[in-house]
Amino acid sequence: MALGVLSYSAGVNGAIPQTAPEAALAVALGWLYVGAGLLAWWKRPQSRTGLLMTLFGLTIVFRNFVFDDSSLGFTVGFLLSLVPLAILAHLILGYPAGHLAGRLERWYMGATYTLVLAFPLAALLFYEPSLYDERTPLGCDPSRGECPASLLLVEGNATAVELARGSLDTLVYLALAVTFVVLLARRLVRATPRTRRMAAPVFAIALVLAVDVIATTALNVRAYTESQLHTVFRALLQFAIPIALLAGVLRERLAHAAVGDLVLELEGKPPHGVHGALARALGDPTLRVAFWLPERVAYVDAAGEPVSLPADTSDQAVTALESDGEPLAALIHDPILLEDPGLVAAAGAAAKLALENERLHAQLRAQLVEVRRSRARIVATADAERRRIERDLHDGAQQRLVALGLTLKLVEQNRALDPEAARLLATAVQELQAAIHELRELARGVHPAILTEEGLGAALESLASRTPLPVTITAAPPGRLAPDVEAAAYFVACEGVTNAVRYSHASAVTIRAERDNGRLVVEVADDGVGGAQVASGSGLRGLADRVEAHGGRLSVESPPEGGTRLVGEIPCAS
Amino acid sequence: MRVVIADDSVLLREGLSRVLADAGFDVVAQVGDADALHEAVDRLAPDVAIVDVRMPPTHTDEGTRAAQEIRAKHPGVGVLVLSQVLDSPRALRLVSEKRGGFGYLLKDRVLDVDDFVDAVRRVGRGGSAIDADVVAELVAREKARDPLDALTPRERDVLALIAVGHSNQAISTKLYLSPKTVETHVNRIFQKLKLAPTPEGHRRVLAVLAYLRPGGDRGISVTNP
Repeated sequence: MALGVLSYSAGVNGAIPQTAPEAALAVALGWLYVGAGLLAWWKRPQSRTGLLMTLFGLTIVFRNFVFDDSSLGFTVGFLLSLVPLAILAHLILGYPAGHLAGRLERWYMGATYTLVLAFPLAALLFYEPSLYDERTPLGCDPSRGECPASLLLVEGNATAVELARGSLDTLVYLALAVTFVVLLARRLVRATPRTRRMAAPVFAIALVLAVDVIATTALNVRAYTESQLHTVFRALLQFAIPIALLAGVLRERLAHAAVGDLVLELEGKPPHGVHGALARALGDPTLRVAFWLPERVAYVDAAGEPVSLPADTSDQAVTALESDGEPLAALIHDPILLEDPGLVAAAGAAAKLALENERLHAQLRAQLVEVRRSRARIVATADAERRRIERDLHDGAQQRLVALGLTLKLVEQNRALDPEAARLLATAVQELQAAIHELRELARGVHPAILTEEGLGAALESLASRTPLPVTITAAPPGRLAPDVEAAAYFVACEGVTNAVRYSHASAVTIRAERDNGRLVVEVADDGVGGAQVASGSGLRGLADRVEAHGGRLSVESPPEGGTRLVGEIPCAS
Repeated sequence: MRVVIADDSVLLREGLSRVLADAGFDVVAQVGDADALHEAVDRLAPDVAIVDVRMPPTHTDEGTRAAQEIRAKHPGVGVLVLSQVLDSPRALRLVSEKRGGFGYLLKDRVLDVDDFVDAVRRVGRGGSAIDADVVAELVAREKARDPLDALTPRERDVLALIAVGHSNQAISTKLYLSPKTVETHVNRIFQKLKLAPTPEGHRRVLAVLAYLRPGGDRGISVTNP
């Protein structure tokens, strides 16, 4: 407070003119920042925002000593005159994390701090007030009293002072201001939704301020620069920034309050589960929840699908939540939330029961997913094995049997052969032919070659050809589908046709196989006696297992005397 | 009659070669895959190429494709396809309007040496040889349909033999009928099935197969790739 009074009196009473409201404004602004900075620092010690705000306030107060009559006050004040602006730029570029995100920003700030100190320093090295009769380039009016001297004077040189304070520096500051606007716009574009929402007011005010600075330095419209309007506008903007910064901090307080609401919300059934409630309470729409499955030593999402946590280097952060010392879940969220670790922890604690509950669900779903997959794997393996057996039968055993038969035939044609032996040989060849025929039928039952080689359409046609009933194929999918889908559909058709021939006493069968909305629908309808059930026939049960293993469904409509309709629906990627 | 044999089983190739040589054929080349088959056909221009459906490298339809290519490239070369599996749709697809002999037989038909030799000879002369099981499937499938019901059992036998690719002369020998009787049967079959009278030979086989083919000329829609 004493410092403030001192600074104020220095401003009002010094040789360099400063009106009472101006001095009061500067001091009030300085202390406002110091206060807000200390508050922010206390609330969020991890963030450098509070520290920077405090420093900003202090440099503003110290800067005002430039109006003091003493040489020390003048020298320190003048040296620091532009530092507050640099700190303000730092504060805004770093907001809300408090640290500079990119290398570009760090370079920029380094250059800015150097330059805002270098030019006043250069001016002070050559400033000799006695060289001037009128108002000096450093703003002292000799008519109001003796101008304070520079403590750092090396040699009086009016040209050097003019260069450091009036021509070169204006260009450099303009470049810095323009760069600042570009960097700020870039940050705004790249910010995560939460950061953008939080920082938007600060960034907006900063942009207006930067534009105002550019306008006054570059365009130097005297009517505006020297008007009261400019002073008031600049002051308003400068006041608005700490208020906006404080609002950010207060918003965090509100976020803590939202955690309280979270508990109430989770009491009921939140519409998007605990995940949605957490995302809302923490104000981070990108938030995801991963549940820890101890038996699998891995994280899964609510649907039971495996989740890999983002790496440390990614633009997402992870907060692990524990329950009784055991991992429970992980929140994958905007890293900005880490600045207030208490917030995420509080939200996690509030949602613990709900998370535990949902983890049980996720666990169950993960198990179901695994069971379904292993079922599909078993069927796929069995299918592959069937295809291999079919091929081995045809290309191995059958080929050898035919070759053997040919050899026997050649022996048979030997005229020197005993008639009894010739008769036996002929019988052997006949037996061999019967064996080959049986082998072929067996192989076809195992897995028809035509299905592997020509696909479902041809296989259905072949099935229709060898069925002793009129079979009409009303539709078959063009082109090829995944082998396991084709196999499942084919076996549905086979089962339907077999049922029609053996049990239904049907007189006609219709087969329809069509792709419909990501599924292959196979329907076999006959006009027989009906009465078939999935549960009763082991053939139908096995078929249902096969179709369900692919995530499909098998249904039978078979009213007594009403014919039988067997429908298989198998998901197939389109 | 000059023959090229393509089959990846050496044992079978040798056996076939002996059987055909004994029957008076001149086996000019034996090959084990489709590339060698094309080379042999280009170079030797045989009367008949006997082609196994499954050949290296994938053992799926190399033979089928080779057969189609030979028919397109060398209409004068008769192609006899041997298949391990009964695949009527494929057999019917292979039979086309193209000039030149064509046959589709199950592999173990080679054990009925006389019939097999006869089939090779027919194909070599530009005729047809369709496996009796393929025809039987077609006829059995059509059994419940009206026009075939109108055929007498004897007429049905004659129809099956026409579809297999036999001439009237061969049918009369097989069924112990006079050529005149066979001709009468054939005319009546064509009348009952409302088919245009067709002279003997490949075109007659095609007409009958087209009739028997599922959905052939009955307006039954069969979507097939």
